[in-house]
Amino acid sequence: MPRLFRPDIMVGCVIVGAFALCAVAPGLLAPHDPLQSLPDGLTAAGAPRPPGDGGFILGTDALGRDLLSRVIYGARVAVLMAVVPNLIALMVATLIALTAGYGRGWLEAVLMRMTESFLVLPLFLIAMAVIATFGSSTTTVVLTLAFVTWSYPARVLHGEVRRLATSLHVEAARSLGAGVMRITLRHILPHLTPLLVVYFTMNAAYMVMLEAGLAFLGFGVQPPTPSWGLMLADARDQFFRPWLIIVPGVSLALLCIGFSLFGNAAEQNSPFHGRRVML
Amino acid sequence: MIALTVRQSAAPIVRRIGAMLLTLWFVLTLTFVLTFAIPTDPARAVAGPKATQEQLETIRLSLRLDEPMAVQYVRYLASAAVLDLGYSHSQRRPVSDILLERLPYTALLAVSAIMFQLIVGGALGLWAAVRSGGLFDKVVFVGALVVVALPQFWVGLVLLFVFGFKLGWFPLGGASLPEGLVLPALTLGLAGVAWTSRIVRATASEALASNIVLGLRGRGIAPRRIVLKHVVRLAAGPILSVLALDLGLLLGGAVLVEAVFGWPGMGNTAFQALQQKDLPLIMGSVIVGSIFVLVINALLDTARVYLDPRTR
Repeated sequence: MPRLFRPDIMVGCVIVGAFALCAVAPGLLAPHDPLQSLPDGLTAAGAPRPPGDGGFILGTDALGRDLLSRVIYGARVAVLMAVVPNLIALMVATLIALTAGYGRGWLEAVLMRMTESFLVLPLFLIAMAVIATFGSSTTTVVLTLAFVTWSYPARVLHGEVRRLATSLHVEAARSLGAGVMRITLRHILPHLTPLLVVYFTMNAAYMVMLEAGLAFLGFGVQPPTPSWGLMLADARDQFFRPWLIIVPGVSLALLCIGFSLFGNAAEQNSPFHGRRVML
Repeated sequence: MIALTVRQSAAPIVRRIGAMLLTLWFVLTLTFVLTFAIPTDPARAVAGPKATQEQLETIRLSLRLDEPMAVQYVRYLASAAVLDLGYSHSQRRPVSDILLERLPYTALLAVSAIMFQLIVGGALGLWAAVRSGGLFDKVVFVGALVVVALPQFWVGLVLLFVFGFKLGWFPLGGASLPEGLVLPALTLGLAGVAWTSRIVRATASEALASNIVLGLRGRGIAPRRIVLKHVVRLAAGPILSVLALDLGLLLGGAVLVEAVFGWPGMGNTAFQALQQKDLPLIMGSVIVGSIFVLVINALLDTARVYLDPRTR
């Protein structure tokens, strides 16, 4: 029985839970409107306020907007990107893995060659090119993130499906006369759950970073939507106001660490521990 | 007999090249489809906003945009085969010229980052495996967990702030060598150091518990020599295959790192091209980036075979 109340899981829970709360109900937590330039948001000289100054806990940005509120609202984009493209990518990966791994034959050859070709590509560049082509609406960004991340899990899931396809319980089901659909859906798919959970948590951190990176270059969500990547893009030449770099960056890192703690624990508690899921 | 051996050893190479070509074809098709899907008119992008209808028509004819898609596709593949990647209208030069000029910068950055990650990460992982369960092992484990979760471009910004702006040890950007290379390479390699240390830690402790090491010990070989010669070799294989898999990721990271540090590599070129909607240059960067990854991948595979005689 895996232990659930370990310190790393608890810390991960608190971090992810806190950001999830920010994402769901930012209005309850944020002290100000994240988009509004506040009348007292700038110092008399017109500079942003450092943390703690004038009642702004994390300070203000160059437009006099409250940084704490922007970080809280920015969690929306981050959590959205951690969940939605991640789910889409895993669904595609599972579909491909099941088709290839149980279908066998030329279909398997084509699908897995495609997956492997995809795997070695400079996917970040491709994501940039796709977003440049189709525009950077939230839907496009979500679909692009899914598009560039399905291949890795697909490969690992495929290996697992192949292993399961030759296992005794599948053989038993087949000898009882179960059809292909029934075997894949009832006897193979459920056994993929632990692997899917591991991937979901590990990928979540990766998705958040990917989106922030794209936004940093101008290919993610667009202003005025509060997003940590965009906040960092605004702050990139503001070295004399380090809090503008530190606040969104630390939020980003914290959320990623939270997901990684989960992912690590999920991997350790899964039957795949020690089999190097990430390879 | 000799012919047979040659064919046996040649078969994987042929398959390897075949797979590379297949991947390249895939990339070319993808970039071709993207070029077609882009909402901006390529002729308009070349001519600029003030061009007349007639000028647009002339450009369309000269770019052969009037031909059927299939014909254009075949021509696209044919010209890519001789490394003709089109003409960049934002820089008014052939795309392949621009990219060949920038490629060495990205290669230098990527190779420095890989060396950094292999040497530092490998040493940390090896030491952690030797002192398994000790304080150092735990510190490396937690450190790797945290470092992996740090967004690369943010690490770059922080390093730039601390060592470039506050301490003034390194330039704030640009490609002055060698001091301009240090921060970008550190940034790009840092996550890799964490990964490498974790994987080397796992494979090295496996190797340390193996019969190979037991046999070496039995023959009275010094522990230091066992670790530095034999365990390193055993642990090198897996880390090289991970490295090969992560190359695409590394190149993606390079785009961001180059943008943060103003490093004049391919990533920065692609970024500028995207901002100016310079289609041939964007697609060319994707293609050359893929070729770059594929070639280094093949080199790493060779290195792995060399290091671990079992895979020969």
